[in-house]
This record gives sequence, C-alpha cells and structure tokens, in this order.
Amino acid sequence: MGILTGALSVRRYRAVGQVPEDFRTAYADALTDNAFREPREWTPGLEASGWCQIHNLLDTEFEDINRWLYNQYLVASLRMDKKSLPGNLLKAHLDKRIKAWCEEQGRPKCPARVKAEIKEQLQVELFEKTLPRVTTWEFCWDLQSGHVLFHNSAEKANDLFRKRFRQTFGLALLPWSPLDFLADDPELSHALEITGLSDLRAEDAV
Amino acid sequence: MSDVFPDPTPAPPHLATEFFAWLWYASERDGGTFDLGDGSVFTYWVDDRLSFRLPDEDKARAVLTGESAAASLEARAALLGGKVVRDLRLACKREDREYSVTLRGVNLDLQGAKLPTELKAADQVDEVLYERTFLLDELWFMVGTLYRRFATERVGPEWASEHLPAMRRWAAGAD
Repeated sequence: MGILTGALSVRRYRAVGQVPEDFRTAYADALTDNAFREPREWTPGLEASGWCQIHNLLDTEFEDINRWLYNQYLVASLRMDKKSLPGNLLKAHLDKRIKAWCEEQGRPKCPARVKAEIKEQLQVELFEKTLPRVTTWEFCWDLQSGHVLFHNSAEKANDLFRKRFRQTFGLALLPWSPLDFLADDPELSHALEITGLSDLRAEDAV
Repeated sequence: MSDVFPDPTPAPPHLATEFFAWLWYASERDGGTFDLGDGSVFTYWVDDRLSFRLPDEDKARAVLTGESAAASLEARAALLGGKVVRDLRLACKREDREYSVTLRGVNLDLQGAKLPTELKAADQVDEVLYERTFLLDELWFMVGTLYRRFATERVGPEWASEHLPAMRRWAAGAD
C-alpha cells in the first residue's frame, strides 16, 4: 500500500521556500547525495536511512529524472534499515564464550571489561550474519502547490522524514493544520482556535 | 523538531475530537447531505469504526467497529461517560465517487483512505499519480468543507444556546 496503490495513510505538510529553476538537476544531485547507502559496519542501535526510488528499494540512483519526477510530482521513498539481534541468541552465545574464556584462563569468573569486549566482538560477528529489517515510506511532493504527502503518521518516521527532507532540498516542512482549511478567513480561524472544550455530557452531569 | 523547524502553533487538540463528534452528530442531524450551494451535493456518514479515549489520554479506551458502529448504544454511552472521539471512519460520496477514510489526531491524519480509483498501479505512473492526487484532493475538499461548517457553528452565537444542547440531547438519545 502506498502512494501508487492501495489505501493511503498520510500526513500532510507544506514545503516552505523556493524551488530552484534548475530543480531537475539540482534535486537529482541532492537525492543521489542523500540516497540510501549500506553502512560499512553495523553497530548496535544504528539506523541507516536515505532515499530510494518508489519502484524498487534497491534503486538508489536518481540521475534518470523519469524515475522520480512525474509532471509536477516528485516521488521517492525514505528507506530505513536497522539490524537487531535476538536477545536470547546473543545471550546464549555470550554465555558459551565467557565459559570458554574462563576455562582457557583457568579463572572462575570473567571480569566485566573482558565480558564487554567479548560481547562487542560477538555482536560484530552476528551482525555480519544478520539481514537488516528494511522499511520504506513513500512521499509525494507537488512542486507547484508545495504540498507534501508522507505515507506514514508515526512521529519518529515523520521526524526523520522532515530532517532528511531539509538536508536534501534545503526546505522546511511545516505540518498541515486543520486551521489551514480556514486560511482564507483568519477571523474564523482565530475565533475557533481560542474556543474552550465543550462537554457533551448532559448539563446536570457536567 | 522545534529546534530545526519552528512549527506554527498547532490547532488545540480538543478541536479534532470536537470535530469528530460534530461530524457524527451532523451526519445524523442533516441526513448526511451537504449542499455545496452550486447545485451539487455530497453525502457523508460515519462508516464502520469509531474509537474513544479519555480527554487526557491518547490511548483508545473503546473501539467500535461494524456496520452500525455509530448507531450503537455503546457509542453514545461512551460520549455520555465523558470520553471523546479519538478517531472515526468517515465515508463520503460525490456523484458516483465514494471514499472512506479514518481521520485521526490533532492534524487529521488520513489513515487507510480508500479512493475510487479506476487506474491500476501497473498503468502509467504519471496517470496513476494524477488520478490519486485528484481524488485525494476531492476527499480533502469534502473534509475541509465539513470542517468549515463545524467551525462556523462552533464559534457562532447559537453554539451555546442551540447546537451544544442539541448535541447533548442527541448524545443522550433524546432526539
């Protein structure tokens, strides 16, 4: 499900600022510069993110504008990869290694510092064997109106999207507000904004 | 995000919940028809989902689904019990185009919006995009039109004397 197919789940924004005249080449470069790249080394907690094409999350080149610009619509996906290790498997391996270290050293206990080193080494080894969890969220930017639809409403994903968007295009994204429906009537908008809470319970229950 | 982007002041959170409750009420009061004043109308109704929360929490405390979710006694009871509408699934129809969408949160995020598309994803991308954005704009226009009506009633002089008492009677099942 996404921008091109299925049900839509979106949060709306307005891009603030001027789209440059040479946006085709400028944005092709910007998207490529900020495209998703596999990290050289995975560390615990690392989340790798960047742009990819909506057609295939493995396509991270944007030289061909026909793959991301359709009339006035710029469409791409934000890809985020994260690796995580099963906690019980990590613990099982760690216990074995610590036991082996103690036997090898002829010591009854393994010092905390050594334990931490073993754990770190083990994580590196297991990360290499683990596939990341891959998530993509599409967005569609109407370059004429400035409206942007981001296909996710989770706060964390939206924060990441807005940061990436700003880094890439140099434009801030302002969240759309229902009061924008009343933008042509500032008096009505202001009057609504300052209303208090109405309680729908029966008056004798309020 | 505020250190990077100075966000405009968001709409007060209670406006969204009041809008949802008003939508539900107005759809029954007005028979679900909205006259656009240009000879055309669209219809709207609460579809198959309503959820409620306590005013100071975000977590849903009651979720009602099914064809008659809005007509159920449990739904009104939730309102009378002091809960507010957390989200609702709204259906709209203009000419032969029928939409449904769940509205949620302060900014009215659109969840699971079903659009009356004719093209398939396998068709030309630009045509599919054009169709979907056109339909989404139409859905958004209808939601915006309803929001404007809500705003007008909400700030009008009759709110306290007529609309709110009528909503209370409706919530209590007296109307």
